[in-house]
Amino acid sequence: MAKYIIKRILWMIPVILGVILIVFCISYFAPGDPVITMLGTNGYTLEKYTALRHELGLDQPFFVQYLNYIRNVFTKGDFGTSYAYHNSVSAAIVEAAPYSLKLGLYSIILMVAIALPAGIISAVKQYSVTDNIITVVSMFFAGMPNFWFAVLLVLFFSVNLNWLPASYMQSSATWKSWIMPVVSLSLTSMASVLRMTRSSVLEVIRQDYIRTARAKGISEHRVITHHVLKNALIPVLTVVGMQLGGIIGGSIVIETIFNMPGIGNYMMSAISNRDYPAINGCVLVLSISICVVNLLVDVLYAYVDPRIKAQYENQQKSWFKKKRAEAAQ
Amino acid sequence: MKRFVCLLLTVSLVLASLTGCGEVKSASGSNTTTSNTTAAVANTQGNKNQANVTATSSGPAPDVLNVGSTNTIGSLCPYASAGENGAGLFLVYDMIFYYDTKDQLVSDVVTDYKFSDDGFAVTLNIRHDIYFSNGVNMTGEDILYSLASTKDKARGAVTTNFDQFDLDNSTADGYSVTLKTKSTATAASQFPNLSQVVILCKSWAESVGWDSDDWYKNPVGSGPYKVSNYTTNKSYQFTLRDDYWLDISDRNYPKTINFTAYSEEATMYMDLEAGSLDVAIEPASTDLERAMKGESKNVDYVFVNGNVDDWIVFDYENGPCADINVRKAIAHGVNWEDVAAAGKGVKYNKATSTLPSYFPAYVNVGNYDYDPDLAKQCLEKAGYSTKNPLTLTMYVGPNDGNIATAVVMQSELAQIGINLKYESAEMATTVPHWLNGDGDLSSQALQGGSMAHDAYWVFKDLSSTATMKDSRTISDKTIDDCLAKALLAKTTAEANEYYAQIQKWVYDNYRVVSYMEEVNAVCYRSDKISFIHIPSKDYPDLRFLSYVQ
Repeated sequence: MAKYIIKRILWMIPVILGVILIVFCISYFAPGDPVITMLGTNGYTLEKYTALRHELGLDQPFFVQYLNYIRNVFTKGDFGTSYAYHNSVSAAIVEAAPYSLKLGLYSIILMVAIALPAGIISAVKQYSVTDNIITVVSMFFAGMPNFWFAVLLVLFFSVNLNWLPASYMQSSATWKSWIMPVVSLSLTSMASVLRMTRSSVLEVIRQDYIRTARAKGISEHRVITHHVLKNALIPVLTVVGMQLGGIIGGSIVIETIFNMPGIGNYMMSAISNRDYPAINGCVLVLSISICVVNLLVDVLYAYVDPRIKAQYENQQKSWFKKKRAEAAQ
Repeated sequence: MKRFVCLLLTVSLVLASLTGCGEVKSASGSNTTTSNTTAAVANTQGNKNQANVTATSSGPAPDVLNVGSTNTIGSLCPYASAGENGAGLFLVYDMIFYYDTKDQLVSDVVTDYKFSDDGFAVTLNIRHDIYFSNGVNMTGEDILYSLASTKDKARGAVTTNFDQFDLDNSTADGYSVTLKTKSTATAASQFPNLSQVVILCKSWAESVGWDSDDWYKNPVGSGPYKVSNYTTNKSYQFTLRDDYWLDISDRNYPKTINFTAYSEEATMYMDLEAGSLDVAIEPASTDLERAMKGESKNVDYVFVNGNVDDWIVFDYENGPCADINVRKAIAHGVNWEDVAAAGKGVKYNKATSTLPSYFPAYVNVGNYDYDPDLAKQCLEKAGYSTKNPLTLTMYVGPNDGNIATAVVMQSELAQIGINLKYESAEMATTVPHWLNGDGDLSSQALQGGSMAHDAYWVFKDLSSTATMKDSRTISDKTIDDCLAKALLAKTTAEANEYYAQIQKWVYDNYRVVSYMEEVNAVCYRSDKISFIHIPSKDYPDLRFLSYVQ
């Protein structure tokens, strides 16, 4: 198992290098001159332009710039200097990361906390009124853009009722400041998880071993939690993993709407300002996050499904067996 | 029955969302054209309620004042290349002179000043008991350093133009500073106005350099506030200093001011409506319109200079626009109010000169009437018509407002026989076009200059001596001569006569079409704040707010 995890981590490196190459190429070949953007029309002189271009290393050939960038990223964690704010992109991302991580984590927890039980109830009470209500509500949220839902929440709970703060204000942020961002991000992602849970549970609940368990007199609650759920979780985990990518991407808009100082908001500002170092840094960080999340989901498979864990271990054992046999020969 | 319940539930949910749709006003930003509201703002000096309220009638300041802005958070270095936080500068630093709530130029720092007999020098004396937040005593050296920094680090719009002062030969001696002027008494007589400059601690500024992060996190100033918290690119928290050198017991300052930058205008305005914000600087045009119509409960507004005049400038040396008839056709063939409304919604005034109307040197030369018949006649004189159209190219910046104005111009010029092709691209691509003189015309935004509203600074960019030769440069001897004479003028009134000549000449010769004076606004909670002081009508001075009693 450890070998599998290490192998997956090592595979992340070429993925990240590929992402760096793509984003670097995009920003390098994008039309326009960032130095002119930085200087502005009022600050431009030929001397300042030449000096700044040299200072930023933009007068170097493509591969020199690319290699310098990779070296800085991997050895110093330096994503460069923001064209718009003239400060370190790494420092800005490090400062913004906790907010994005918290938002993502709370959203995932809420999403799973709602979708799993609702999916199970929906499956257990198939075709009932409860099932239909849950289905309709989940379809409703699936079809609603999260940014629009966020604005509706703000209008209703902040502007009209004044129950919750309209945005995340650094100086006066409390747990109430997290409610609407988390709800808007999680509810709109919950639908597919709910639907997958429902169909997965339905498939498992019809199996013979479930009937056997019931026949043995095990309570329905225990049947669901100990027998059905464990077997139904694999496809659900897959969908949750996919939704994590959506939550990471969706948080960009939600953070902007609620003015949360996270990576998403920073990235939106960077895009508006055509701040390529910041965009590159944010894309890289988000790519790494998705790689890590996918890895975690894969590792979770092994713990949820003992067959997968055994399969890895058998592969390892068979490899050792083969080597011993060769050595004996 | 089950199906009926589901259907009912679905219909209810859909209706609920449609209700939400109806109540959500567009918050799409400033490029939305208004429908029934009069687009032009009558008077940048006026506002809805503040005419009857004076700064002195104030309740106690709240402990915390929450301010939002859609600009970048900015630096507390007044010359930061990344942009400065205008409101924050007032809080952290003292200024040599500033406009008080009665729009009088006053100083907390300068005790007296005196001109030399020949008018070529002014000596000012400062208080001896002024201390920066690091304990250093302010002297004349700091004043001189602060003035010299405006020249060294001049970024254009936010700095005063000290070309007329000979700062290299000016001296500081203890608590006195003697400023030499290069030319005439004009510079000296304008001195207080030009000296709306923040006072920096020379020793500290030199030790950290201009690019230090300390300008954001821990700037050293002599002003009433210090930075107690800073989130990169997002927010400042300013706290009243316990050791402020001036006795402000008769002033009404909040203990804490939270300043937040918003990337979305709509979010900022919703925060204001919800009461989380007390002051919102530069709201979107659509939100301002709501405030003007009274649709937002407990939200009021005051206008602020936009500090930008929008021009259409021509390549009058090459191509079709070298012919004055073509320029006249363009000037009269477009309804410039339509163009302004498309670009800025309600946030504009009709421009009536090359200079913004709040400039002391401004004269009303009028604007070009929308007269398509006259435009067609002028175009025919140039040899073009609707049957033989003229094709022109224009390069515009990337934002929605630029594109909207280009679209309106294109459609209206098409009716008189001009095919306008515009190309919108990032500034990094567009600016080189302007520098190369590409395109037959372009839309330029003239920065309105510093808080001193000095016309010389504006017209310098039009002259042949401009640092950057772009499509604004008219390079005509008339402008160069007038500028040189204005510099040598003995009084402000005399200088203004030359500036007036420039404005008239530009208008009569159709050298630029100045079609819009951008206006901005500050929205605020009227249940908390009764008056906001806007010095020079440029930027709110958060020290001088009056609160509801």
